[in-house]
Parts: sequence; structure tokens; C-alpha cells
Amino acid sequence: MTALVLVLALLQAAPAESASVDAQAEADRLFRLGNQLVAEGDTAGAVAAWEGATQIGWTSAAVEHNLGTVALARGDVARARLHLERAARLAPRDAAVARNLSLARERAGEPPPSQTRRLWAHVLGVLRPLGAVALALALAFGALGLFVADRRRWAAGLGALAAVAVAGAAFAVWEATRPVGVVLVDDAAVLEAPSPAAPGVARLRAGETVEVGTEAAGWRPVTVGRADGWVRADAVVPI
Amino acid sequence: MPTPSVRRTRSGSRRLGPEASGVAWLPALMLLSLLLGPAAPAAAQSATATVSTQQVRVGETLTYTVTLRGGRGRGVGPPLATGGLQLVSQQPILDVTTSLNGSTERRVAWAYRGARPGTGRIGQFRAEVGGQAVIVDAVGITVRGGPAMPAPSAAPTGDGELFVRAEPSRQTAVVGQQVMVDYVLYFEPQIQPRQTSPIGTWDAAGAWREEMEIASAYPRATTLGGRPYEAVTIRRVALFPTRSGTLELAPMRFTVDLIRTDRSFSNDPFAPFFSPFNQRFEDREVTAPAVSIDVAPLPDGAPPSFAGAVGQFEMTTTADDAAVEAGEPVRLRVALRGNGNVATLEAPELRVPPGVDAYDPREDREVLRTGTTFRGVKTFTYTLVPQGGGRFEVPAAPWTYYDPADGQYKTLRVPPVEIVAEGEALADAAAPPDPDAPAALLTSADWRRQRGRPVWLWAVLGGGLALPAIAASLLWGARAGHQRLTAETPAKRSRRVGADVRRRLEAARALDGPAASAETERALRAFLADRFGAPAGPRSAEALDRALAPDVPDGLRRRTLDVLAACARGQFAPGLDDAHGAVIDDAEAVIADLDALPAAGPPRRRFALPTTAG
Repeated sequence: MTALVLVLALLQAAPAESASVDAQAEADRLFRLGNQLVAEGDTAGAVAAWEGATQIGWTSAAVEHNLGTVALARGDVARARLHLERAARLAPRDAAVARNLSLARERAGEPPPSQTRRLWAHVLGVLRPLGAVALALALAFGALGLFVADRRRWAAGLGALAAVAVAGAAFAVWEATRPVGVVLVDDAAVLEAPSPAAPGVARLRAGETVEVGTEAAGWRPVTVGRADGWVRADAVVPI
Repeated sequence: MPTPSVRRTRSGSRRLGPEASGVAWLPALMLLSLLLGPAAPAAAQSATATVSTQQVRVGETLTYTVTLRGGRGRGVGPPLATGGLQLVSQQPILDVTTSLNGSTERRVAWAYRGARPGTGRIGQFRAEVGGQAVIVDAVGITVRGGPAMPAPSAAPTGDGELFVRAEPSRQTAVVGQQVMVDYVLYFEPQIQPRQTSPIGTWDAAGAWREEMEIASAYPRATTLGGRPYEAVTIRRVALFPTRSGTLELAPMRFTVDLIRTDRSFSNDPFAPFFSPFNQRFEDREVTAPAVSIDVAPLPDGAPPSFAGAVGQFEMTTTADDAAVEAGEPVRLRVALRGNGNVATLEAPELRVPPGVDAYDPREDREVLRTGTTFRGVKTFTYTLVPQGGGRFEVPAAPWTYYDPADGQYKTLRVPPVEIVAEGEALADAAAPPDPDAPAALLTSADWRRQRGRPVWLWAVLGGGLALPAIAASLLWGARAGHQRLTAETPAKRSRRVGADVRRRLEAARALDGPAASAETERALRAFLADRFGAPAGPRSAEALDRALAPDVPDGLRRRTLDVLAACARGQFAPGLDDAHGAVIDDAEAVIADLDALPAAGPPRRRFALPTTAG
């Protein structure tokens, strides 16, 4: 009976897996087509191909990087930053992505990151949020083990490290899960309510990043500094 | 009609002066031949010639007609024209042979045109008739200056019996699309066009023009407006509009040399023979009216590799051996073949890698002007020279054309070429990287499924941190329980001592003599130590009494000391011993009474003494 259930489950899963593989192959084909087109000078066609590759359920740091790089070359800083931020989330250690993201941020008017921030980004690039969580948990369990083993002083020291690691992991997870969007429209108005008649709160610059909420009826809540407001949904795209 | 002098050689020499009128001699000669009938001897070989006029204007034509008698002749060709005359065509405009009563006569005519003012000359005519050479002397023609050429008229000219019109293959086109324009001469059956020539220049501003060759000039029967006509295409032009809008084809003028036949003789088979002048040579001028073609712009969305090619094309590529020595050329030939304006095709743009020199491609063109489309092949030969050793890849080069049949742009690609050059590799002469230049595009992708924000990381972190907390709590609880279980509490001590007391008393009952007394004493002292903190060691009665004094009444304290004294006696003075069982009973009774005293500290569990205790 169990074997029958397993067979039936496999039979149902096989088409889905096959379709997924096909979609990945199609995404890869479109990616290569885009590269070919851009080599031929057809950047518009290349962008269309790459965007097509990202619209079938698969993504890649390379395709986002290429979209961002082409946008950067075209002077579309906002879209460049959007795609390069996405690429950086997928491949934080990629030098090309980091370089172009740095350029996009600079051209968007963002000050360069501090040394601490760069170091943190480097560490997080190595560990990734999941790695940071794993490290924090390992340290915490280690401290507990030492405590159990009655190595109180070692346990206290490792516990302190574990506490730092847990805080870092929590920050990394917060950064990874924080809903951030890139402003695509220059001088986009932030309003108090999702209505064109609502009074304004602030104005956003293209290429700027803001914390965003879930879209509702063509509007999206944003947090700018300490102020909350609403912008038109097409003005901000989540990373 | 003026007649040049005629000379017959060998078979008879007869000269006619140029002043002799030829109006009547030919019919008369024919009539004479008929009258003589078959009995007459075969006419001698001879040749005569006539010209239609001895004075022409520039641009006008005259007809030079030679009549051969005695055979068809061999080596019959037009005499050389010199001076202000020029031969219109090597092909005769008339070539008629008649055999009657064994006599053969052939008339051949050519057209000459006045080319420039002055004296022209039609040279000596030579031929061989019946094995005899015949010669006709040259004839001089006066050519006068012609009138100014009339300006082309946009209005159609030509009457109903002869006209020409432009017939484009399509009325609408897109920029660059081939439009074939046929100029068709229509004429009624009594007219026989012999030669047509365009007059002046023709303008089709806004279009590239290619003249086509017309393979066949045979007229075809057709009907226009219910009238029968013969039609022949006299000119074919392939046009390729270079801009959108209305393409105006200017009127085109033609001169037509024709023979008009009097139709009243058309049923007489001998009419051409007996009435040669019922066929008149004429020069007519006809004008094809202007035609307009609507030209639409090319659709948007042309790829960058589109350079204006319109039509249907295919590409073939051949390359030399790509393994060469450094500095040796590699030639790549790209042939574009198809229908369209082959002449203006642009070469595919190759992007050669650093380290390879590329020269402008050499262009070779072959076009076919026959048929109803202008087509051909254009070959671009690229010369690529690797400057050092190594592998160089020339990437695929696109080339796009617009196919008006499908209405879409189509891209052909020159395949990538890898050049392998033997020799010393080039030093890396790359410029230092520009700090402001973006990094290059990535060429390989590591795909992963698209997912939302990884909020599950919070669960991992929280759950992971909860695990050690839970484990620590469990551990602490376990330790606390263990400590509670193992700690020496008064109650536990009481229980333990009570059990010890009971065990010792039971042991004492089983013993005899000093051992029983010693065991009884140990049981009582253990109880006192546990219950009242009395020192177990000292055996001083005073010390024990002081220890018990705060909690134990005097009588009970006395009884306790008495029992201890009895135990001592039983150990050390057996002869004075008390009854063995009575001492144990007293000990149990004392213990029970002491245990019944109210406790000063926390409540204690009372001893469960053996049932023998009072």
C-alpha cells in the first residue's frame, strides 16, 4: 500500500518537475539570447529577453546583474539599482555585482558606505543570513555544552560570543527580510493616505530605497525615515 | 525616292545615275519580268539601293533599302555609316524575299539616324549573290541641325493606334522595396514597330533605378477598351524607393520607327511586292504618362543591425583555414544573395577581438537583370590578420533585412569564427580599467527558483535559540531534582535515623549479652543525636543531661539516662546486667516518649518503632 502511494506521488510529481526543468532551460536560453543580442548592439532586445527569463519562475544573479548593468549604461539609475540590489541579494560576494551596485548607489546620490558597513557586508556575504544564524546557534549550543560540563568560565566566554552572534544573525535576518523597494519615478510624492487628494508627506528621488508594504488598490505604503505614507504602486518596486 | 548608283559586276555592268527616279522603275521591272514569263532567261545578279531621303535633321532617321536580284545573297549587312550619320541597328527593319517565275528578289532595309549636322555617308554595300559579288556605291546624305527637343509632357501622347504607358508591378510599396516598371508599347495591327529609343533623360527622384534587360521583344495580342492591340515591353526598370511619400515617375518619351501598312492591301499576298509603297516608314514619338507610387516608411522596431536592406535574402559564409601564423591573413567571405537592391547592401559589421586587425571588406557584385525581378549576389570578403599568437574568436555578426512579403524584419548571422594563430602571444596592451566604468556583463547564470523574502529565517533563528534555552531549563530542573533527592534534610535524616534505630533495636533483640546492650545503646544515642542534637560520642551522663535539658522533661530525661546506664552495665558488668529484654523494652519506650515530645523546630516525622515499643 505504501509503495502504491509512493508511486502515485512520484507520478504526480514528475510532470511538475519536468515543467520546472523546461522552465529553467527556457530561462537559460533567454539569458544566452540576451547576451547574444547585446553583443550585437540590440540592447532593447537583450533587455526583453532577460526580463522574459525572470518571468518564468526562475532567477539568477547574472540576469539581474546584466539588466542592471544595461540600465546603468543607459543612464536609468533607478532600474539599475533595482536589478543590482536584487543581484547583490542573490550573489553578495560577486565582484562585478558589487562594483556595479556601488556605481548605481553612487549615481543615485547615496553616500558611500562606512568601513564598518563594508566589513559587515563582507562578513554577511561570506556567511549569508542562514550562515549567520547557524553560527549563532552553534555558539549558543557550545556555550550550553560548556555550562553542562561545568566549565563555567569557558561557558561564560562562549556565551558572550554567542550573544553577539545571535544579535548579528538577527540583524542579518532583519536585513534579508526587510521589505525594501527602489523608487523608479523621480520626485514621487508620498501622501498621507492612498488618495491623490491626500496631503503630501515627502517626495522621493528616483533610485532611492524605501521600506515598502503590500500594494493595495494601486497604492503602496512606504516608510521614509520616521514618516509613513503612500505612493503610487508603480513608483516603487520591491527589491 | 533617290537612288544611289548601282553597279553590277561580272554578270553585267549597268549604271544608273543617282538622278534616276525610282518611283516607277521597280513596278515596271516587275511587270516586265512577269510578261517575260518562264521563257525569259534568269535575271542576272545585281544589287540596287535606295534611300528614303537625302536630307535629314539631327535625330531623324532615314531608310536605306537594298534590292538584290538573282538570289538571297550572302554577307548581307548594313553599310558603314560615317560623318553625321549613324546606324540605328544592325538588325534590318525590312527583309523581304520574293520568288516569281524563277527569279528571286530580296529587299533589305536599315535605318540610319542623323547624329550631327553636316554631311553623312552611307558606305559601299557589298554582298555576294548567286556566287557573284555585287557592289552598290556609297551615298551621301545631308544632315541638318535639328530643332530644339520638345520638353517632356506629363500628358499622355500617342493616339489610339500607338501609345506607350508605364505599368508598375505595384502601386504601393515600402521604402527600399523593389518596384518593377514596364513600359509597354501598344499598337494596332497595321503598325509594325521596328525600333524604339528613349528620348532625353528620365527622372524618378526618390528612387534607386536599375535598368533591366528584356529577353523577348515579340509582341503579344491584347485588348484594351474593346480594341485589339499588339503590345510589347520596350523598357523595364527596377525602382527602389529611397524615401517615403509619393514616388513620381516622370513621363518618358520614346521615338518609334515603324512601318505602317495600308490595310486595303492587306488581303493581297503580293501587295508588298507590287505595292511596296503601301508600307510607309514612319518615325513617331510617344510619351508614357507619369505614374505615381505610394511609398510607406519601414515599420518601427528595426534591430540595430538593419542597414536598409529590403527584399528576400539568404547568407552563405565561407572562411579560409582559420589556423594561420601570426600576421597571416584569414579571409572570410560572406555572400548575400536574393531579390532586392543588391547594389546597396551594406556589409555585416564584424566585431573583431583585440589583437586582430580587420580591413574593410572587399565587395563583389553580380546582378541578374533578366526576368521580372532584380536580383543578384553581393559578396563581402573580410581580411582578418591576427597580430600575435593565440586564439581569437570573432563573434557572430547579425545582418538584418526587411522582408516585405512577410512584413517583418529578419536577421541572418555570420557564424562566429575562431582564429588560431601560431606565434608569440601579444603582450596585454589593455588599457587600465576605468574606475567609473561598470563591470562587464555576466555570461553564465546560476539559476534558482524565485522565492519571496526569507522570513523563515526568523523561525530558524528563534527556534534554534529556543532549543538551548529549553535544554538549559531541562538541565537545571534535572540538577535541582537530583539535589533535592540527594540533599540531607532533617526529615530525611530522621527517616534514616529512625530506620537505623529500628534496625539496631531489632538487632539487639536478636543478640545476647554485651552485644545486645551495645546495640541498644547505639540505637538510643542515634535517636538522641538526631532528635535533640545530643552528641553521639560523649558518654558523660552530665553532658547528655545538659544536651537534653532544654527539650526533655526531667522524668523522661532521668529515664533516658537510666536506660543508657543499664546498657552500660550490660556491656561492662554482665553480672549486674538487667534483664535483656527489659532494657530493650525500656529503650523503645523512652524513644517513643521522646519522639512524642513537641518539636521546637520544623515538624518532624515521628519514628515508627517496632510494635513491641510501648
